[in-house]
Amino acid sequence: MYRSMLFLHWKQINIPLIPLILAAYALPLLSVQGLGTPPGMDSSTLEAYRIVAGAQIWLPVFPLLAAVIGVTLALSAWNWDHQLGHVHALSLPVPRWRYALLKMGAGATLALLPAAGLWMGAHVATSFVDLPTGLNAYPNQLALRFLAATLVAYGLLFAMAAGTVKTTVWIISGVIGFFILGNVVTDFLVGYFPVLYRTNLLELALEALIRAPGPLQVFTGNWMLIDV
Amino acid sequence: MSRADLCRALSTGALALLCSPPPMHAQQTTEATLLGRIDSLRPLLEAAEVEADLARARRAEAERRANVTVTDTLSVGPLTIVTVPENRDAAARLFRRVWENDFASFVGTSPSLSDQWFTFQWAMELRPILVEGRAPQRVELVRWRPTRPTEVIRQSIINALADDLTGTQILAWANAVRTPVRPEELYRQLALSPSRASRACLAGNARSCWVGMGLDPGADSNPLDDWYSPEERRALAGRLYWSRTLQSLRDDCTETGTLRSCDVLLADRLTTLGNPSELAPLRPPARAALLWIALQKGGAGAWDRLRGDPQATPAQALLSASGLTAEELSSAWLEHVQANRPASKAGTGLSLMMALFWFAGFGTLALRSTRWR
Repeated sequence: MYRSMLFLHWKQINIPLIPLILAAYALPLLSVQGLGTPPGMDSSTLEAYRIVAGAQIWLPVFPLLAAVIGVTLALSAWNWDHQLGHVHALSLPVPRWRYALLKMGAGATLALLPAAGLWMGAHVATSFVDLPTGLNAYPNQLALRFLAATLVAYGLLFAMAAGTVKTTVWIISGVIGFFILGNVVTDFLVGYFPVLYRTNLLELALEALIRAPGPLQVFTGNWMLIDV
Repeated sequence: MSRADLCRALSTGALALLCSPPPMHAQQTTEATLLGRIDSLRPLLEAAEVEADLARARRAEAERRANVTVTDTLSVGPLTIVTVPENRDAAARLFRRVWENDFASFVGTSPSLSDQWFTFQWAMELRPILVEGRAPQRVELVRWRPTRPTEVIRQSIINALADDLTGTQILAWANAVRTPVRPEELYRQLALSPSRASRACLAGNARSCWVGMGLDPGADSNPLDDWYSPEERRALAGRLYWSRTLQSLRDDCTETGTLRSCDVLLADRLTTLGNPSELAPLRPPARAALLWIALQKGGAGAWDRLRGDPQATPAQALLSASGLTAEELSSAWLEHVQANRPASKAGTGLSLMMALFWFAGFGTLALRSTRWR
């Protein structure tokens, strides 16, 4: 049954996923484009700074691509069920939790494809750059982080998409509302709890999300393909 | 003339007298008199204003004294700490911990520390602590804010200590006395510094680390040549700002790539700089770390030896403080930097575990439904 779920998901997503796999492969190559030792120059440390600075420009694109892949996989996982009113799922002799688990596993398996693309691209890219003393390439670690970020984005959206559209709208509206009204709520609370003076709820919430052990911490941190 | 006519005539006369202009000399006399009287009041007014100012100052002082927080004073080593009674134990514990861990081993005597007082408060709401006639180092932290009191205490002691080095070459060289903050940044600086000396240092040549910090490059050698390769010198000259008078040399260096012009430019900068080590590739954070390690290695009396000779060069002061050779001291620094190589590589470890945990958590939420949607 897992195989048929995987096949169904692949059928759903192959058209948008293939360009994303290619993008994951190409991104490391783009990040090292133009780097390397110019003719007539030894592998000087002038290069070290240039390589790290050059690679940093591409840093935000790696987590962004991981998030886009995760979201695409998650939404496509439930798209078919929502459109057909869950008739196929209801016709199967399995409980819902098992059905959802199989579906989630199929999506997670498909997430391996772009991560593998990035892993290959990262290895090819670093093989083209003559790294000066003190710098190292981390293609395996970067691919692992990319996979982890894809899975987190996929898991988050999968959980939301597993519910009703109404639930999803409530959650997303709540988050957006909090970001818009967070400061107003803080000011209101300070009136009752002076100890909250100089506390920014919005900032605290963001910190909790993006700092360890927050769920989005994998998207921050170090995404350098080449580093010290 | 009847009585009525007499009254009418008198009224008319009085009215005419009132309406007629007064004689000029009488008017001048009145004005001068008034001005004189006003002037005579001025000293009185000034005295009153002084009195009022004094009264206001007395009242403000009385109010300030009435509002001043009750304090306790305690001593930890040579440190004098003024604190509120409820923070007394915390102050003693934290100052003692910082002093014994970081300073007691090398600070013998310090005129600045003896002269300096510290205030300490660690509370939800801060109250003013008055220290008469002094500008104390203040360690006053709001308890709910994520600041580590020991770090603030450490830095305040360092600030007080650094006054001992005012005017010395070692302070000009290191720019500051401080603990090696974020040592992983030192490693990054060393790895990315565009300099042949840094590269050799990173490869394990401790002597190059010493040279790269601008410490005694040798009387005969050109320090620029020790610090930078020809390509690096060309790049460095291109990065610096030059006056119009040197513009042609700069163009020659950066546009035609004539190395001789770059060297002339950099040599000119070296002579005009008060402190030639400013062009050295390993910058003040690396030097401050070396100074701190020299003090730690020097042990008892290291601080006294460091400030013993105000005319000593940075290298002499460091060697005197540490009691080590240049090779040994720079090796200790290099060991420290290499031991703190940043765990900057992406992906593995705890970060990956947490990501998988969250993935599993979200998955569980997705499974947790008893009905088909």
